[in-house]
Amino acid sequence: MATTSNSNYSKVSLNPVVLITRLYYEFLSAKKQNNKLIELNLEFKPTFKHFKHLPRSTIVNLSFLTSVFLFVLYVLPISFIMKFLLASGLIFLVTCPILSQFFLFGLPVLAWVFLFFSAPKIPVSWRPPISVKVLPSMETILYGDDLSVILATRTNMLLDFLAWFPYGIIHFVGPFVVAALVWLFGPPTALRSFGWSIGYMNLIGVIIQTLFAAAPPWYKNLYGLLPANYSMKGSPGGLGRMDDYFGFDMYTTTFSTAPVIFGAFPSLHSGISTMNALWLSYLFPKYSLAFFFYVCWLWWATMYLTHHYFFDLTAGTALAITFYYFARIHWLPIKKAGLFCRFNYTVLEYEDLNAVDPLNPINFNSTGGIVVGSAGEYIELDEELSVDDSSSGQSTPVDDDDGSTVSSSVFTA
Amino acid sequence: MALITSLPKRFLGVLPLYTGVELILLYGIINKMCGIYGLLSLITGHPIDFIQWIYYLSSTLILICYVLGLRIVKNPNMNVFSIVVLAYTIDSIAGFLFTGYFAWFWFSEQAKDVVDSSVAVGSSNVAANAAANVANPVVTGISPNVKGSVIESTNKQKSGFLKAREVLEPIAVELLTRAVSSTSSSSSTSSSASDLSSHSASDTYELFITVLITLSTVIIRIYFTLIMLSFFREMRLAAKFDSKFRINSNTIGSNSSKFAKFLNSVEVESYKLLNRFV
Repeated sequence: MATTSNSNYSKVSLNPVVLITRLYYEFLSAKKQNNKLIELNLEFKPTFKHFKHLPRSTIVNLSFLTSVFLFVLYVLPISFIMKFLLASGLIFLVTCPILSQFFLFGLPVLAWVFLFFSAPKIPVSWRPPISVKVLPSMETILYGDDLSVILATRTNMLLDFLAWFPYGIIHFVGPFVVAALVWLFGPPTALRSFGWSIGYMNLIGVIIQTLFAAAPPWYKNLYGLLPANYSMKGSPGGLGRMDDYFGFDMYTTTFSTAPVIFGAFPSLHSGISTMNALWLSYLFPKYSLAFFFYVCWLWWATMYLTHHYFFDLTAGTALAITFYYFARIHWLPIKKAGLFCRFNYTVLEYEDLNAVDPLNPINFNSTGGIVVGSAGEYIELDEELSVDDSSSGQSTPVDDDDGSTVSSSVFTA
Repeated sequence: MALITSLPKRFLGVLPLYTGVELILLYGIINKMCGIYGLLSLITGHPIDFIQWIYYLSSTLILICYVLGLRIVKNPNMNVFSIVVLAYTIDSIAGFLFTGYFAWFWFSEQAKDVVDSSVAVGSSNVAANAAANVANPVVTGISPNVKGSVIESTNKQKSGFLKAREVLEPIAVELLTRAVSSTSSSSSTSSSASDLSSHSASDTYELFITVLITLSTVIIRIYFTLIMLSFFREMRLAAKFDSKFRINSNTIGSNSSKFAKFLNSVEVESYKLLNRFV
């Protein structure tokens, strides 16, 4: 068995047959190496073993999600027996090892889906008043003009299709494709971080949408700044034109009867597209620019179709960035530039923020001598270096060049 | 002299400064994207005034600056970050002024709209009636009443404001029809008119939320600016030990272009200016 150099991994064919054969080969070869990292737990017998000795952060996380599920069970207008069955089903999902290895980390996604679809069942008296003017005024105050209105003033068939593709198609397919790619081409356990970040982003997004109900731009086009109420129906906005082109009802009914109608802020279309882009950039950093362009495209589409104000878009993207970085800082293993897929990982390394901190003295390129900036400005010499140099010891490369510390791959291509 | 002596040493108390700077620049970039979308509005033929021109052009320039900073945040050099930090500081301060101007712009437009509509409608109350009726579209059996009241009120006003009515009446009726048809489908619910009107936010509530969000963005921006300044200061302190944190004015050679020379002098001047404050 000849050891291949890392550079061979970077030449990846995009031919699907070659890709699948390659993945299968890597899987077999990892099996042969007895790689414990990629093994799945195939047991069925429910157990609470993995709930013992939980760190405090996990306890907070699980308590929050449990309270969301309890809230949903409370508001759902179904019989007690159905509620009991639903709760038992959830408990089974997180205790049966073959399922819990996926669903325990997918709980935020489940909580989001549950909350989203039960949102119309929340008693109206509990809900906040619907804002009609806050978002358009925020758009002008922060960004100078009614950007969303301006971009939707001129419509034509070509632009309709151009807007429909990211908004009405990629948006709904994207997360599944990205999840599959993260599982296959990311390091083992990366999918957990993806599930956590996208699930929590959407969950918090829906909670904000519920607590701060606000009308989207199509509302302003239909009713002006007149007061809104919860018995009103939704609108497909510009997507209604697509139904006219295709001649069948793809969006009108879906959007008219959407569970959250006054949920303009924040835009989860924007959030999900940014989340996809961030995760794809993590997997394939070479194409980051293309992923960034996709987010810009979707932003335009969202405003063109009169579904969101510009402020909703920036808020959605900010939410995505926040949760992506949170997951990345806490649990995400380093993606090795030289490794082809999950089956190539024999060891997981984590980013240690302090160790790669450019201001950490261990990373200084000491040139000796004390020098005053060449622009001639005085530098206070009596000040101590205030950098925290307590770099906690995780197995982490000192420099941030991912490729240089790859433990040489023992798998042959 | 250091005007700002106690700057935060960690981002949010736990994260290293460079991670904070990375996040701040990302948040900055998404906000500065408004420059590009604002300039896109020229394609749709939307007129923008002088202040908006300045705002969108400067936003686009600053966006480029932030992208350049973001690319090297894990291996920063003083030349680029002098500009980035100064740009962020100026952008924050100018941002407060723009926020103030655009807030005035929005609320004066709002006030103008209200005056316009009240002038157009006069005492006829057509719009007010329509608004009230759309606001309270009573679910069952209300539509005859609603239409009746509009017709009644329009009948009263035959003497004057004919033109205004010609314009407003179809709009009011259309809004009304939409609102009624939008709610009539859920006629099984037994909510009453007063119930429905309580769903909508009052003007005070909307104003309160708008002011709250605006103030929050101001506070967040001030904190982010302090983090950027702190990052600059820590870099300058580290310059004692590592040459990459020293400002470099050596690019002014005989073979460098005019633009490179200009850029370098901007970098050096930014560094000097920042040095006076932090």
